[in-house]
Amino acid sequence: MKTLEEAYAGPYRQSLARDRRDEDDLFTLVVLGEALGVPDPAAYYTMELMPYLYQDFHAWHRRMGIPRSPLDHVACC
Amino acid sequence: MSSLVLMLVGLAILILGYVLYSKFLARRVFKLNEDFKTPAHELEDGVDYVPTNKFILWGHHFTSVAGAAPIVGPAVAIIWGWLPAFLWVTFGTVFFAGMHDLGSLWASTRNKGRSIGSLAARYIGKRGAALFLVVIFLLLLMVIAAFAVVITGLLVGTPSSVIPTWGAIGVALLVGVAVYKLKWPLVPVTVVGVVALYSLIVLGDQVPVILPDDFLGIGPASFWIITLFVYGAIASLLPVWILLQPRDYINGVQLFVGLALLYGAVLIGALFTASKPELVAPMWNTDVPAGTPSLVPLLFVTIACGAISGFHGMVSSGTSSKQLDKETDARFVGYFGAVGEGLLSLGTILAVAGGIGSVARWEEIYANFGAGGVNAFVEGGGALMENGIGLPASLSATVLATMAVLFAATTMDTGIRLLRFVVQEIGDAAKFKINKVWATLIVVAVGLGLTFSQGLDGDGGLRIWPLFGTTNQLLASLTLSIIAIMLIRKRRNPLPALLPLVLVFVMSFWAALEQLITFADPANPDWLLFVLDVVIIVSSIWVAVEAFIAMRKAGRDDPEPADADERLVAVREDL
Amino acid sequence: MAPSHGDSALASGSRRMLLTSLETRSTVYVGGKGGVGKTTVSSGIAHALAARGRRVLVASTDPAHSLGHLWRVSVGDSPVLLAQPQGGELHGVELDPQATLERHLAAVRATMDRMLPERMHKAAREHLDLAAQAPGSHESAMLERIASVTELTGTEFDTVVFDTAPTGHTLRLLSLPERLTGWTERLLANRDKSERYQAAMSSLVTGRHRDEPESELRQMLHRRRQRFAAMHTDITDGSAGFVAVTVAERLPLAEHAELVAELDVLGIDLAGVVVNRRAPSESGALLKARSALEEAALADQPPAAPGTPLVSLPLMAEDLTGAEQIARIGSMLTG
Repeated sequence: MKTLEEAYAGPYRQSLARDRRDEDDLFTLVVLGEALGVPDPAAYYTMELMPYLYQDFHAWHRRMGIPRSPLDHVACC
Repeated sequence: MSSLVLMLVGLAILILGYVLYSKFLARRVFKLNEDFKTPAHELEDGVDYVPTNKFILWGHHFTSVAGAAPIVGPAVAIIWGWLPAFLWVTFGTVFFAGMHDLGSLWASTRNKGRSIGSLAARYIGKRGAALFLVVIFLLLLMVIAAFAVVITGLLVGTPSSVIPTWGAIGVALLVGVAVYKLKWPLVPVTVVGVVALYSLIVLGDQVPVILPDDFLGIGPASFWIITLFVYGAIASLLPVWILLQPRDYINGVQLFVGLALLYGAVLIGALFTASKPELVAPMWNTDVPAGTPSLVPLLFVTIACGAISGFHGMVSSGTSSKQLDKETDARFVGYFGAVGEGLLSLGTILAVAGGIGSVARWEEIYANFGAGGVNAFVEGGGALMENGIGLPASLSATVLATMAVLFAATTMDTGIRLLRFVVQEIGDAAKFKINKVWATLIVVAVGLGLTFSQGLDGDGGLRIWPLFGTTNQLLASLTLSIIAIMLIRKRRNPLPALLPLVLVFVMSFWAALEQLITFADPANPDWLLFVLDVVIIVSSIWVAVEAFIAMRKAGRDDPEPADADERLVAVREDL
Repeated sequence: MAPSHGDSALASGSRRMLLTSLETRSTVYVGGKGGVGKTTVSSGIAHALAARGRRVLVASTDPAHSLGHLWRVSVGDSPVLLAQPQGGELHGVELDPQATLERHLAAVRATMDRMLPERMHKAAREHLDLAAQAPGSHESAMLERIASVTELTGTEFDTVVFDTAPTGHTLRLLSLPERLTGWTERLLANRDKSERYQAAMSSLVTGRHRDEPESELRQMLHRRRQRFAAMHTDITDGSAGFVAVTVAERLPLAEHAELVAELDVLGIDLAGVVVNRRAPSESGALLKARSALEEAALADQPPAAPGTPLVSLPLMAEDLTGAEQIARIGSMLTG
């Protein structure tokens, strides 16, 4: 029953998940902007957000269509 | 002849097709491999790439591909008699649509879940990708114009569907708010939503909304068309989870309810009532009204969805291929998804061939080409349901009309949304930034222009419909070419893809030429459609040339190594 | 040595206005074009305030520090006592953002070490070092340092006088709190949306969702926003005043006019204007000619609107370094 409900909710969850991921990707882009060569007026403050992003970093750069890690020193793949 | 016999024969053909032909395709042609690591597993991200149970995935796939088009096509094409439509729907589903949908699902799965557009780029080249964009643009443009006319016809022809149609949009919005803001669970909320919808249908049946002929000085048809485009523009700009997603749920339920009612009505009607549903339409109409184009090739583009539709390839490759748990599931999801749509078209044939009360009435409805259409489906289906399950004819007609309107409206606003992306992409290519509101306005302006150019006095009917089918078949040809190229590269038998490709391509090309003459008819010219048709003809030649070059190259090149797909670099793409 | 206005009663009125204007402030920023004498004026003002019994800190934010040179003592990143005139205290500090930056980096590193798996530590640290070298990082560290010095007012000091870097740098620095408040709010809005989606997703089936405790990330963003907003308030609520220093020449006066306009945009009070190194009109032909030029320039480009305290300092022959000279400047500015 639980599984059926989950399956029923699947497409809805997916559309919410997509929009959530868009927000998260934007966040990552802003925070990692400096490292990607986008001047960041707040680099000092963004750096303290970076630890929270590394975990999802691999999925992010692949989603952005960057096959390998764009950060010279983060050799995640 | 009894409708029941036709229904049973049709079902038998579809089931045999699934049991025998899809097995052949899965084993011999596509060689589906249970151990192949599907994109859903390889790139699993919990959002797009999610391994999904095959029955559930089939449900999602089927409800995504089935819409108003498999109803409209057969309802128009029955004018040539029920047999041609029946044969094209059943054998088309078995040898064309099933093959195409399964093939595109397989092709995308073998390419990390990429869309047909990027497959065109990979197998045909840069020009192939550009070509794909052109065809998609034309297809979407025609679908919004054609469906605006279809919906308007339904709202005017079945005034009782006005309240449930617009009410359903309100219900969908409330469902969206309940889920997103109030965090209510989805199942009870949609159950309440569906109950609300059917209450609205009952209400609408009591209170039909008939607009006066001089309504607002522009008449009801123009009013509805403008309203639809305004609605479509707004809906396409909203986040999907607030309106589109909940409405998809309501549509999904309606699809299954509608199918059950139609088939149930025929079955019960034939077995348990005195007035057995008989086919009133001619088997082969030798006395078609003046102005009706010839059956060959127009049948093959009038019924696109329901026999073979390029649109399905987009669902197969954009969405379903990313959720396939095992490659072998593609047979059920892709092929049986096509069978599902074939069932909807078959149901439509039963309604328009067997539901209309008398031969005289049938001839009255089908007085000229394009006149019957979806309104005939509503009338015939309503009558079948009254006879079979005792639901009053007008209420039944309201149920079916509302279902068809909601399907068409979904396709329409999705079309506007996708077209907006295309317009923005074209703007980007021209180094010109177009924001989403302006892009939407451009799309709406073009769509409205195309809709109004068709003449709304009623007898113009659905002139754009066969052209829409032609474009849809052109897209299908492109997809079939890609499948054939892949098969050739793997040195497998490409005939199951090549033969349908040749037939569909020849028929749609021929149809495009025939329509060119009609659009230039001095008595009743339509220069906008004429220009569009020319563009389609040029694109068709282009498709043929590119596909031919790519196939020859595929045949000459060394065969692809057995593990070529596994070695493909896993790059995600999200459209 | 008479003020070149020629009207000494008017001039002394202006000086009292400047003193009154400054006595109500807890922070005073002294700024202007490079080389106009900001360090001398800021120390003079600080000394004058200390001479009225206040505890004053003069803080240099110009990376090319000259406070120590002016006082002929060694001044570093922690305050040193410079003078104790008439019961007041005058301390000086040369702010060094490098130390702040390094402390900040150390804190981030600690968080990284805590949150990331061991194998990523090295890579993450190297990446962090790169970010530390970003052009804005030094500036932000200076802002942090200014904020922490500002916090000393009301406890250790009655007034902090900032001897700032040349105009452009200082204006950028002062506009940072507002820009960063906006930046933080956008990020918070982004997190809000993301979490609302998450909540809707998790409640799809059951209809229940737990109110997650606020994530560390959001707590940090919240703290930041409060801090930036507080900084912004500090410089715009009237407790801070800006003293613009210029010389009476056309180019510096033009830049001065831009500075005054920009301060108005930023909402920072202009507490007074000091025209430094005015040439005396009665000391020989050369200086007389210069004095006339300056008069003309000032007439063309008035450095202060009516009502803003405007004080002139004469060109002086002496070497203006050391406590005594600074005390003298202080009384010339305010006496």
